[in-house]
Amino acid sequence: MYQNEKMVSLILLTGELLLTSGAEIYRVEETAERMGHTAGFTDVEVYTTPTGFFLTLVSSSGHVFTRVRRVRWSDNNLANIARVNALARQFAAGDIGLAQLEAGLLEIKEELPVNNYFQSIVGGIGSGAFAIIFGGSLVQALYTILVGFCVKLFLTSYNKKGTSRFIGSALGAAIAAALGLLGNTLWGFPHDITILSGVMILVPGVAMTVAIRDMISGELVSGVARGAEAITIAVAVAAGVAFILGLGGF
Amino acid sequence: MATGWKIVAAFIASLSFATLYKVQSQQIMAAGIVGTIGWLINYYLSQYGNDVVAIFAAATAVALSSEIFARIRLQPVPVFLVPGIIPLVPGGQAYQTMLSFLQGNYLAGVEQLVNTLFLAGAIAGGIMLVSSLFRQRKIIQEKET
Repeated sequence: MYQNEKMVSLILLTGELLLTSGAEIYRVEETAERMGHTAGFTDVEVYTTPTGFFLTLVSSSGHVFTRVRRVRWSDNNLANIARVNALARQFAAGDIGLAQLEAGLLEIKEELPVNNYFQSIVGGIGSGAFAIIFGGSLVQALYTILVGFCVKLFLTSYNKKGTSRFIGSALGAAIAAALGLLGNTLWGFPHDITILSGVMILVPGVAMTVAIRDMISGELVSGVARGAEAITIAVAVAAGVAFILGLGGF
Repeated sequence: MATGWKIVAAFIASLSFATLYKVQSQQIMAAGIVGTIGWLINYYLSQYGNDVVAIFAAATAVALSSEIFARIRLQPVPVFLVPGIIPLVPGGQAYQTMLSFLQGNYLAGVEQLVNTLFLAGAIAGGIMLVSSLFRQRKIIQEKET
């Protein structure tokens, strides 16, 4: 009995980790089903949406376990998806036991906080690279690195749990637009390129791609929800840029 | 800026987005290669023909190489697919759309909006094509075993 309850919590934790890292719905459901069957449950039903999931397991002795886990906040963490995936596979294959699975999952959950400055520098480099792709000069790319750094630094410090992603993206885009106009005034860098490269790091890449993959596997609810998330963020970015450009008289 | 620089930039852009999305360090290089493949295909095809066809071909190539890398490296597909698709995102067209609407050029804005939607749809179509083929194959394999 204790073993079963433990297993239910672990499956719940696995699903939560996958969902909060931005995994596809079918991955969450398949993983939960595989783990449940491996643990000896006769019937496993999972219903997953991007904001939470329901799990019902029937043990061989006929006991029914039903739990709901609400997921309020999610982040893009592809490494966590890969790590949870690998752990669940090892468990299903019988390579690791319950204790090792739990230790592994807790280790992923207790992830060290990422360094905001490192993330911001990487974001800046990404923006700088886009400035070159969009036809900017090397000097402008260097300025764009600074712009991207500021946008990402703002975003990482703003995007604490519970804050609105819509407002965060709009404000981030506004910062990029303001710095783009500043660069144009001071050094004559074309502001279009700076702004465009600066807001590239706000693009909801994970939501966009995962929405498509959800749709294919028949997860229409999640596909529409994540697609809506991607569109909302895109609109927020456009609004942020448009506001500053409008102020600047463009 | 010469094309060579742009290729390097596309590679660096994919690398940094892979890092932003916290891809494990062993897989970052592969994600960068996937992104560069897609960008190159889009860049050259769009010079000779239709933009939508070019981006569709590029997205298909990105999805295909992501599926292949995922199988070689035993990783989930999004690890390569998500950073790889970023250089294809029609940000420039979306920006032009916004600018046209802002300036009151609604006609041009609608035209650019349709163009942006077509490009986004082509990316989605490319990913859909490859992902559904691979998923179909997986389901058939599971039924046989």
